[in-house]
Amino acid sequence: MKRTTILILAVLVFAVVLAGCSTTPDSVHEVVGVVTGVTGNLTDIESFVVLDSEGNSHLFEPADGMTVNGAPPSHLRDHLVSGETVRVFFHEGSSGTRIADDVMDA
Amino acid sequence: MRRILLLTVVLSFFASACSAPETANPLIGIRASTDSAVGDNRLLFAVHEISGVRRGGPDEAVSVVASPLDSPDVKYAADATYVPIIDGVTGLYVVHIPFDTAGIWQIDFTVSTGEDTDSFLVDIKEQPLSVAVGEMAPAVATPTLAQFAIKDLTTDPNPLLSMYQMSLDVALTNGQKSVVVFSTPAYCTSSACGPMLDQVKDMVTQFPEVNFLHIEVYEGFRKAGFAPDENHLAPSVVAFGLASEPWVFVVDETGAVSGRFDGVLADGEIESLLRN
Repeated sequence: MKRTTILILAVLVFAVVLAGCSTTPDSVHEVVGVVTGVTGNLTDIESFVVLDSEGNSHLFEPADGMTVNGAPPSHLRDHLVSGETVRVFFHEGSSGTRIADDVMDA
Repeated sequence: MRRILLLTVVLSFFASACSAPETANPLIGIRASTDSAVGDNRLLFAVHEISGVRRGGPDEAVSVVASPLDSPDVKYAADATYVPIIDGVTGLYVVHIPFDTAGIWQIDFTVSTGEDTDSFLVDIKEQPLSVAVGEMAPAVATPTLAQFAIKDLTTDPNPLLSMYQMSLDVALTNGQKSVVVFSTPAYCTSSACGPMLDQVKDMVTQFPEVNFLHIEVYEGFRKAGFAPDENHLAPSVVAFGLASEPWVFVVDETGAVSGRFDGVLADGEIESLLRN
C-alpha cells in the first residue's frame, strides 16, 4: 500500500513537471479573426484588437519588425476597414501581454 | 395545489415561448473612422456578427442615435448610408452626426432586419491630430513631375500623371479648389484596400477647374534601405498631422480645409463640396 502511494505521487509529480514544460511562455500561438481596433500612428502601432469567431476579443502589441502580409503594421487599419480576416501569430510576454510576431491574411 | 403549480409551470413555458426571443449574439458596431473631433460630423462604422462576419449592404438599412455619454438626453438621430468597398462583398456605413462636444459618445444603431444590436462608443476629441475643417491647409512644397520620374513620385500602378504636375503649395494658392489624396497604394495588398485614390481619379475629368493631387505617404520608397518609418514620412504628411492613411482633404479657393475624409468615400461626398 505504501509503495502504491509513493508510485502514484511520483507519477503525479512527473505529470505536473511535464505539463509545466509544455507551456513555456515562448510558445507560439495563433488567433484568427477580424481587426476591431488599432491604436497608434502611421509609423508606430501601439496595440490592436482581434475578434475571433467565438466572439472573444484579443489585445495584441506588435513585436519589433512585425509585418502584416509584409506591409507595415499600419496596414492593420486597412483590414479594420475591409473586414478581411487575419491570422495573428503571437507569444505571451513576461507580463502576460500578447506580443504579435506576424500577421497574415487568413 | 399541485395542479395549480403544474398549470403555472406550463403557462410560464408557453409565455416564454411566445415572447420575442432574446438574441444571445447581437450585431456589433465597430468604428472605422480615426481622428474624430468636434466639428467633424462623419462617422464610419462596420456592422459585424459577433462571430466576426461582416454584415451590411444596400438592402440592410441602418439608423443611428448618438448621445454624449455624460449628456444622454442629447440625442442626434440619422440614417446611415452603406458604402461598398467591394460590391456585394464588403462595405461600411457612413453617418453624419453633429459631434458638438468633446468626450465619449454612445452610438446606438438599428438594422432593418430587426436583429438586436449592441451600442458602441466613440471618442470625440477637442481638436483632431490632423488639420481640421476650417483651418488653413499647410502649404508645403511637394515633389512633381518637373523634378522626378513618375515611378519616384507614386506607388500607384496606374498613375494619373496630372495628379503629379503641381506642387501642393502652388495648388493651395492658385485660387482654385483642391482635392489632396494622401495614400500609399504599394501597401494595399488586398483587393478591398485603398479604393479612395481610384475614386478620386475618376472625378478628375468631371472637375477640370479643381486641382487634384496625390501625395505618397513615404518618401524615398525606391531607394535602397527604405523603411516605412518616421524618417521617411513625407513632409506634407507630417505637416498635415496624419496618423493613418488613406486620407482625402478638400480645400477651398482660399486654402482652407472644407472637408476631410479617411478610410472610404461614399458617392457624392466630395462632389458636393466641389459643386458648392
